[in-house]
Amino acid sequence: MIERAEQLISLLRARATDAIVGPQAFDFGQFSSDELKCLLTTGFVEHFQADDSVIGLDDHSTDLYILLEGQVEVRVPITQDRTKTIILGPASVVGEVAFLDGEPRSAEVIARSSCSLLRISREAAENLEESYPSASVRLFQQLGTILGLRLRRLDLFDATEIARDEERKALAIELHDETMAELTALTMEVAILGSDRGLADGLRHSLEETRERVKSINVRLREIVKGVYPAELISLGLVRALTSYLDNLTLRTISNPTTISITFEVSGFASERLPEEIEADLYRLLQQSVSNLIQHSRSSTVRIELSWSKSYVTLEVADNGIGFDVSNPKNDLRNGHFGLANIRNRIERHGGEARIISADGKGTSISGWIPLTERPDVPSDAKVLSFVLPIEVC
Amino acid sequence: MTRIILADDSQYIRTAYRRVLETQSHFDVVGVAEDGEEAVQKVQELQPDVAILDVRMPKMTGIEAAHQISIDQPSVGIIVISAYDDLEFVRELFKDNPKSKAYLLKTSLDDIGELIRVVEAVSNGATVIDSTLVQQLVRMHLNRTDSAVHNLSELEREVWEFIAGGYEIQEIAMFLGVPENQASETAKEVSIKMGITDLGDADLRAEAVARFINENTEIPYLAEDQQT
Repeated sequence: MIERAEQLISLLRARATDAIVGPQAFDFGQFSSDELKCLLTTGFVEHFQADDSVIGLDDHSTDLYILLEGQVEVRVPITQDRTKTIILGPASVVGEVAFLDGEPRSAEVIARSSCSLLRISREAAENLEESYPSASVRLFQQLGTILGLRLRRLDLFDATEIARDEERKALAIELHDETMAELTALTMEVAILGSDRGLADGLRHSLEETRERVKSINVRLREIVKGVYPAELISLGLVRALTSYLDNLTLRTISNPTTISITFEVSGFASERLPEEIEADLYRLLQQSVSNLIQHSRSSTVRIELSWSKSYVTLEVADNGIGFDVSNPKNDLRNGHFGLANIRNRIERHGGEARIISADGKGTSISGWIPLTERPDVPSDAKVLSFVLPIEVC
Repeated sequence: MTRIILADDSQYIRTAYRRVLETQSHFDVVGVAEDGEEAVQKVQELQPDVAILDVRMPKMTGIEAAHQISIDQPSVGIIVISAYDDLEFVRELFKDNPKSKAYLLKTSLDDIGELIRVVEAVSNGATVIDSTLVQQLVRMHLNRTDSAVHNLSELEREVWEFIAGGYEIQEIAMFLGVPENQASETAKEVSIKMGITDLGDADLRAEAVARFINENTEIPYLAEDQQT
């Protein structure tokens, strides 16, 4: 078995195989023959048939796998119902994330054809460190290079995310300023037509119905636009947009007690405004957190705190609901197409930190902290707004 | 003849307003403007009875234009139309003199009778707040344990909401199905309970509405007890 593995590795080393070896390939060429021998003996060569599971999401394993021959399919859960699938060929590395940080698996890996993989456990890597340090260094250098390439791709991804947000905002503005205005004008025109005294009853009735229909289209459009990018956020700023959001919240769920009381505490803003992208992301944090807690948490009390100090801004949403298991990674991706992972991303991309604290039966706290350019003075105003939301049973 | 000027940067909207207003033979649209500056200028030139201003316009906002017009031509009635239900705008509009001023939401425009009613009301000196906002204000007041709204009976509160919507006593009496003098008395009671006593009828109502808005609809500041 090891001979076969050795054969495969020398082929990979010489880049003499037919298989396409990607930029994120494990470069056996960096290893001396002795180092390679060590790697092989430290590790374990495993064979899989097509459709076998190599790594499962609920495995508690933390082994690294280097694919020597064949193809595997990596499935990364993106949202509750969507998975990203990647096909990988020889010299690809899988399982490296759990190998490095010891946390649960972030993706599942399935054999697409019959394949051979070199498996290296964390203990084995530790032994390698002691028995053959240079091989160990080489191993981690390789992992470092591969992850470095991935990080570059993520920064690029961030840039496209931001571009996409800009696009959405432009769309919302255009819909709000043009389309909704036109629809309003249209309803008025139809109303005028309907008010003509000389109309037959049937026609008047039809016109009235048409007017109602156009009106409800406009109402629906307003809701959509507000969900995508509220006009208040652009024109009035974060504090007023959040106030408007909370004021217009109606609850349509039967899973809550009869009322939810929300306090919204704001300090350090006066009439100043944060950079637009930060306001947008903080708004999303609140929008997502409140939406989640209304749907799932059965809270009766919610405390929201927005505070702008000298050199940072924090927003916290805390509820007294049923909580959830934060350590279960599946919970990061549930709750609609944004979810907690998105909250984290939106805060972290400004160099900030998102903290999500919860436990079964113990309520939830979601907070974001973002560093800012230091300002000379902090306005001493502070205010507390209080909302009591009635429930509409659906 | 009620002479009206329309200011909105959307041509569709301006045309729609004109068509609505022209269904009334005693309304005459004498001029239009595309931005706040032009609105102020046209009002000066043409001296209308009522100016309808969109809250968001280039060069000068509707509220800024309203303030300028108030200074230049204090007798002109002003209707600000807005897509925003933000109370700050309402406070801003009413802050110096709430008489003959109205704040209307775009969502209320599809009831063309409403626009016509508000133009009439404003040209008669009334103060009008859009009914959606009135509901919001009442809700906010009821959430505060120390609001005077708690001292009002159900009937008084209903009368109050109509007053804030700029309705005349006869209209209020009709909607509530009570005789006119009862409506009138109730209105007086409400004003007293809201702490306004010594103004003439229309002024009293305008003041009461303004009070409704300006009375903190937020719980007092944490830092120091400052009233806006």
